[in-house]
Amino acid sequence: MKVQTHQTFESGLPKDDTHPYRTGAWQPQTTEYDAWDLDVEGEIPQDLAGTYLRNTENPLLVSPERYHPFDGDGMLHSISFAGGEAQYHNRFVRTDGFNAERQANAPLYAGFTEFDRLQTLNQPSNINLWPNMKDASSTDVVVHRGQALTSFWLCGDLYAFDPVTLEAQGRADFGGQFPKDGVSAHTKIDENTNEMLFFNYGLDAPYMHYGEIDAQGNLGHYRDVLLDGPRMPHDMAFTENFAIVNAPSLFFDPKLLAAGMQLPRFFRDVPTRFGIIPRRSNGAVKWFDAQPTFVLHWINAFEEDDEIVLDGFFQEDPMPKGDPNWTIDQKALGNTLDLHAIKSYPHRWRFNMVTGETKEERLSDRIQEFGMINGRFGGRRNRYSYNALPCKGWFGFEGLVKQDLISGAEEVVQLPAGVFASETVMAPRIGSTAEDDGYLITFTMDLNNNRSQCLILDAQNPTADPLAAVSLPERISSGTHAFWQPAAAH
Amino acid sequence: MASAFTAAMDDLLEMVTQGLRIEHLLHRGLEGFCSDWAEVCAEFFSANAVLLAVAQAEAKASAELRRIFASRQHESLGRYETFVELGQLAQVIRPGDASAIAKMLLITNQCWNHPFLRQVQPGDALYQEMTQLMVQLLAPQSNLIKEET
Repeated sequence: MKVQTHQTFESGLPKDDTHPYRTGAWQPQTTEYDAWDLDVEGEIPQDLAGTYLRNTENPLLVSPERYHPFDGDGMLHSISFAGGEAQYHNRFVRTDGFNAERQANAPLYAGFTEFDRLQTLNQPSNINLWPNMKDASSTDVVVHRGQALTSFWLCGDLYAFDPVTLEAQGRADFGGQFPKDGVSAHTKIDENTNEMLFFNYGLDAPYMHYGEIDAQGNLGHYRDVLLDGPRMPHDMAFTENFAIVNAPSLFFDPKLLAAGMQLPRFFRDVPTRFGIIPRRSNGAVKWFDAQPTFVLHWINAFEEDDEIVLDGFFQEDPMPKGDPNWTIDQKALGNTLDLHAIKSYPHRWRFNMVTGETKEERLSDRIQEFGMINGRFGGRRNRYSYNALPCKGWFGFEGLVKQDLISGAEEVVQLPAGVFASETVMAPRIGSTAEDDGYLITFTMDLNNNRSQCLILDAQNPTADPLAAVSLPERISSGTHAFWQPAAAH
Repeated sequence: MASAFTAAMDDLLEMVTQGLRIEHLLHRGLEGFCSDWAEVCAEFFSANAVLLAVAQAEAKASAELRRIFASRQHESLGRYETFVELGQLAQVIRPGDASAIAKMLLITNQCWNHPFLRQVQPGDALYQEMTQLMVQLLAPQSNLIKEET
């Protein structure tokens, strides 16, 4: 392996750190690398071409009092494949907040679970919903028009990179029309039209906007979406002709909000509402009520006769009480991160556009989240999803599940104890037509061997031994989202 | 005397306004919050013990002192009630009659003006008993009287 150090940063974390999300699989890195001729166990397929991008939460400084992994600085990783070779790069996302804290050499922003934000710090932030929070751009990454774009878990900026080298390219500005309320964590790329779809939300009416960036990079469409009040949905979905947003049953308590407090609560008696928005038009939004829940991530959506079919992960208990003996620090982490306690199951919603009826069904009794599909099938009928298998009691992935949405069959890839996966993407094989003809790609955090590898699995036979395990220069931190960009689209 | 007493009561009201914030309770958790609050109360009553004792002695004969006390206590109780109501909404204070819980909390806090408590330090058993009393008074899982809200 040929490795060059791009830059090394000084960590402000305690030397004897014991925080569960700054140690083990979440141990942050301080060095940025460029690496070629990577060491490979097995063989990188010749018909694998493109880039796997992975965003991670990788703090250089502690939060003022209580750290939550979503507070971590963004560190972006990319591994690109062509002709059986691979190159790897990683870079911090040098956000405004990152730069300000480096300059001050001290934390300037309050963390997600630091409720006393206004009293502790008053560093200005672009996060409209939650005061004094750093836009770390550490949550998701997508590629649109040849630029990798990182995003934050609330609504914030999009930071741009060359997807292969990770050379920083500033911020997305949508031709000077970047919305003042920012862009939500999850934008959607329609590979068939090269459009990027997004939404944002805020405390003031209309509370939500929906937007479309056309294939030329311009804000082609931007509209109000009027909700019943402030909501904080995390993700959206789309079909060929519609975008799907939702107003979840977990939202800021209005009475507390009136008193200036932003505290989300799960309202078990308030339906989760779904808005079906015609794409590329100002046509009316059609609303559907469904069972109360909160959905972190959708898998896909498609049109079938009169219905919109939407797959995602239904949370049975979005705000679990947790162990009564937990300290306040344990509670702050456990309530938001344990997908087993939250009871997150694959679920299907059907919205009848003619009758207005909603039908729902559970797709599996296995706890799962972070589902990915073959990107060519985004917004179109898909058969397979590739979902993360969450660890119990904390936020990490111990494997993945290939789910056949027609037969209901599940193939489970369980990693060895002490080895954890990233969000796993499906990379279609060059020239493939079958939906699952391709490769599953993920980064591991291998605590047993203190290393990270990029695993390449056969998507049609994921439980077989990996086709290749490509070594990275250093063990990386765990994180949240990843993206596959086919080479032809660069 | 009246101006000194007014200044002390204004300080007390400010202490209540700044200290009884639900954000702080959420941030620190109930035990941590009560410990912080006990420290603030102990410090205030210790610093103002002589003034409060004199004011108490003169209050019978001074309508002005009684008026100052009554008006500040009324305002203070309003802050306590808001704190309890918001804490109940946030589900970090037990359900029940918010006004009664607020009054009980105010009375409990006035105990810090007792000579026994003016002498204690944070590590002392009596100090810890007082802190735990407040925890028990407010805890969502408390066995004290509950009334569904």
